[in-house]
Amino acid sequence: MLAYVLRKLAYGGLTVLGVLLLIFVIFFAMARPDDVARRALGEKAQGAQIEKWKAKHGYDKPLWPTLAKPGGSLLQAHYVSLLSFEFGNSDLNDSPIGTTIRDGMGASLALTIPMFLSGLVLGLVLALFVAFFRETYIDTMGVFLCVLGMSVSILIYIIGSQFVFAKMLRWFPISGFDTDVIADGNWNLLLRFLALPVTVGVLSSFGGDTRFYRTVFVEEVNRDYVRTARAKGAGEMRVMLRHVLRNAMIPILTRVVVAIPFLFTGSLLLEAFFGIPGLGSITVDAIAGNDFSVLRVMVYIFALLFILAQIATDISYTLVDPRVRLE
Amino acid sequence: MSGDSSQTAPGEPLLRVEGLRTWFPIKSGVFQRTVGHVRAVDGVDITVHAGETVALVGESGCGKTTAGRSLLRLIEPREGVVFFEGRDLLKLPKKELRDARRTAQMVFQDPMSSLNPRLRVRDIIAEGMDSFGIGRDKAERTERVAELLERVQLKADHMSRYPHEFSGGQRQRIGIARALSVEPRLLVLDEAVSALDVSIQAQVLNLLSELQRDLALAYLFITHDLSVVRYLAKRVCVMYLGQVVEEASAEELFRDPQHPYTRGLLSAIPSIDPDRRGLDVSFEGDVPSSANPPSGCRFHTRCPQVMDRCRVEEPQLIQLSGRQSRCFLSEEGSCGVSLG
Amino acid sequence: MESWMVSNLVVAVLLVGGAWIAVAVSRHDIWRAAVQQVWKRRPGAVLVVCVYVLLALLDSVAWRGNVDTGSDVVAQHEAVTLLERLFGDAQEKSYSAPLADIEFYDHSPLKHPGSHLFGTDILGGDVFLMTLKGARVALLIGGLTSLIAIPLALLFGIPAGYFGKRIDDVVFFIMSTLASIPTLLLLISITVALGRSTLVVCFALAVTSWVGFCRIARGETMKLREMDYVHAARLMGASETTIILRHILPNLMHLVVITFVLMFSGLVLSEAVLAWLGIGVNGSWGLMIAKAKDELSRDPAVWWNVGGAGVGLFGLLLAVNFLGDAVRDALDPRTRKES
Ligand SMILES: Nc1ncnc2c1ncn2[C@@H]1O[C@H](COP(=O)(O)OP(=O)(O)OP(=O)(O)O)[C@@H](O)[C@H]1O
Ligand code: SF4
Ligand SMILES: [Mg+2]
Repeated sequence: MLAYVLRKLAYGGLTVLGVLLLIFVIFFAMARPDDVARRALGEKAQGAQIEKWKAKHGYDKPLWPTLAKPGGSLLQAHYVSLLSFEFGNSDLNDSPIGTTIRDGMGASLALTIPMFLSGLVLGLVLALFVAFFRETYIDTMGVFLCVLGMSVSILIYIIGSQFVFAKMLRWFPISGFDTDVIADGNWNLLLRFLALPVTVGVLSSFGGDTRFYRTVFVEEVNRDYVRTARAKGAGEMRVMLRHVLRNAMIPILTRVVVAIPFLFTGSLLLEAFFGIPGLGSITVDAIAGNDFSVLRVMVYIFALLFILAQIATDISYTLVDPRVRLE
Repeated sequence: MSGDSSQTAPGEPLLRVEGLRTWFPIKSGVFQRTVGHVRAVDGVDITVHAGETVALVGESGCGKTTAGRSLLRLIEPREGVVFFEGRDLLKLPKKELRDARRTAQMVFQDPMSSLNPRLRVRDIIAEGMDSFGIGRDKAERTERVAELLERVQLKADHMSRYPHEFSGGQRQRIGIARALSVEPRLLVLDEAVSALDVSIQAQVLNLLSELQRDLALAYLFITHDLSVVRYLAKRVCVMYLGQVVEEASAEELFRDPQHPYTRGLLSAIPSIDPDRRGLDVSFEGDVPSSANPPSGCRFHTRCPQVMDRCRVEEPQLIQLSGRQSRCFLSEEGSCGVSLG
Repeated sequence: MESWMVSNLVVAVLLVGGAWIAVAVSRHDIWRAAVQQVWKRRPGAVLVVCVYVLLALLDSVAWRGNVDTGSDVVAQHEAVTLLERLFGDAQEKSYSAPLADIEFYDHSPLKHPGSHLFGTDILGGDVFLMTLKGARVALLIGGLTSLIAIPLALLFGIPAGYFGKRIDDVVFFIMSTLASIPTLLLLISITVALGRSTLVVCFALAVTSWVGFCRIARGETMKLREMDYVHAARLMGASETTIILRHILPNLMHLVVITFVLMFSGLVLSEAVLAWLGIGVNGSWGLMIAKAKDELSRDPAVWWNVGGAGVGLFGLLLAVNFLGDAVRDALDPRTRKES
């Protein structure tokens, strides 16, 4: 067990190094510091101006280390700063990136956690329901609805719901959020702010999720041991809850972890549209302002979270299902 | 299909396998180190003379397939010698191996997976002729394909069809035609009829005997079915847990099995021969794992005649007159259960 | 050569290629049976996709002509696609509601009253025409991206699965590295770093989507490598290259088709999100939706731009999603028994 965990951790660490290299290639080799400076200063910027800008933001070093001069390259600085979590200041407005991210975390989590949990529960319940009535018209209708839901762009969900529920019916504010709300514990207000984005978030992903869970359940239902349980007189409901749900945990777990970055994807748009000042909004601002210094930290942090989640799943497999051998 | 390209010295067998070992590594730990091996093949000796049939028999999982593939280097064995037509296949570099094993071909067990579903029968059979440059041009090769199809009792116009349009027996015939296309002298038949219905089995076996007679082919016939062996084979090698435990002519083996394992196998087939009814030996226990074979004689965990020394000492293949057996009982001459 | 000529050339190539594929499919029982099964199960989806493809082709054939477009002189010198010619001139001055006779805000009469099914946009362009033209962009995004992603996945996945060992370790590491970065962030990073153009967007989409198929191709190759016909080919003197090209690759083709169809809707949806972030492809439905976002908060709201693009997008994706299931069931032996 220990060896297994260690191996997963070691591989995770290696992957982090790989991710850092990829980030470097994208943000330093594909978009060279000169281009970045020119984007920040405008096309007409002079050579001296560019050099000054590069020096100010620490881009005035060679990209790659050479044999003659192994230290002092941008590559090294990149690895050192991200691995030590010293993110420095934004190229755009000099605000410390670390602080910005810490501040944004709360708002992001306030949106994603309720969305994630309600989406998971709703998806599982719907899928169980549909799988319970498999091969009836309820099943067919359910799958049809899922595919319908999958075919609509999240943009349409957001724009449509804002238009109908906020603008026409005026049930909720179109957008807005107040970070103090969390600190004050003003749940009522928080609910008003979050209701629409959470609903939209759940709506936009339930189609794909439900259909996936249904496939897993139906596959499990047709297994021999389930038939045996049923033959022994266990009620259909009991079979579904006790046997099918439990044995379907592995694929569900995988799906859930894989969904974590997608959760962020959804929240990126949701935050921007609903004016929630979380990490998604920060990212969108960074894109608009060509602020690569923030963007690359974002990529790094989310890759890191993903890798950790992956390791956690691998380990939790063994807890959920004792049949999974640690190789 | 003349056999004059032979490089085999007079008296030297067509195929001589000695001490063949193929182990599969078992990996584990943080760095996936090799912590042990599945000893799928662990000491196999086989001799096949030109034009004769040798059977390799044994229970499922004893390593027959691995042995058959290793001696043609479809799987890389760990050690041993495989003299074929006077050359050690295991020592040849890749390029020479390709040409050296042209004359040793294989027919596979599973009629579904032995033919590429995306190719027409013509292209399946002509593949070897294309790559070895047999036949002058495409037209001539197509003509040869037609001949081969007729040779295996299919129709020439079947060549434009795809494998899934054929029955299991027909597919095996296509597999045989493919093997024949490069003028082999040895065919390794790995459970070549096991997947077929009994009546179809008989037809394919008849075809094989006919081909052997006409083309002077040698067969290494791998099977777990002893009744087929009796029908076809001149000599028999019996395998247990990766090792050959007995080797004898078919006639002698069936009349007077030496190794306790062979005796058990023979008693397991429903016998129609009233002489042999008394010899009923049955095994206790499961087949041990080939990753961790028993000490001493590998058969001692199940052997009805196990002795103390069997648990610690490993028996070697013991030469008897014209046959071999890997059992201490055979050391004391032909006393014991042998009825001579 | 001008871009519309290239476009015509591409159409010609596509038509020839399509015909060739059709002939190949009709010759090969397995494929023919699959096509028939898909057609029997989802005739509607197949027809809808065909309509979209037809629209895309009509919008790709273009030539310069002396069409009499009334007052508009510029149009005479620009290449106009077949679709636009079929449509005729539909230019107005500004917004108008669907099938309206007058402009939306200043109520002056339209040039072509009652003929704009989906109304017009802020520049007076016909929204219905733009919606139809979006089909070409969507298919271009899906097609071009797949054209990059699928060969890339095969190029890495097959050797990894076939040769194993070091090659597999390296490919597996690249895959897990790429897979640890959330898709949208990676997409954004690449497009932002390389600058925005159709090709860059497709390249970025390809980089983010090839990993999934690479994993499938690798796994399937590992299975195929042990098939008896591969062993047989080796005994027949076939080289590794021959084995890969003749015995492995053709047996992965059904997965290529399945992946292409299943990947398609995700690509088009991702482009829409990129479009909203300002990194989309010109003329896409995503861009139409993104541009129209503020129009809904006008008073009275202008909804038909979003509506048109939304319907165009929804129709295509719905058909493709249904088609995807049918294609997978028809081609994948593992799901073939279940429906
Ligand atoms: N690639 C492999 N890796 C690890 N172990 C293997 C591999 N191939 C075979 N083995 C193991 O080697 C042993 C011998 O297998 P093999 O297929 O040669 O047996 P067999 O006698 O042909 O059996 P059968 O009658 O079922 O075909 C088995 O225990 C099997 O599990
Ligand atoms: S050596 Fe001993 S255990 Fe092995 S077969 Fe002979 S009698 Fe049985
Ligand atoms: Mg076998």
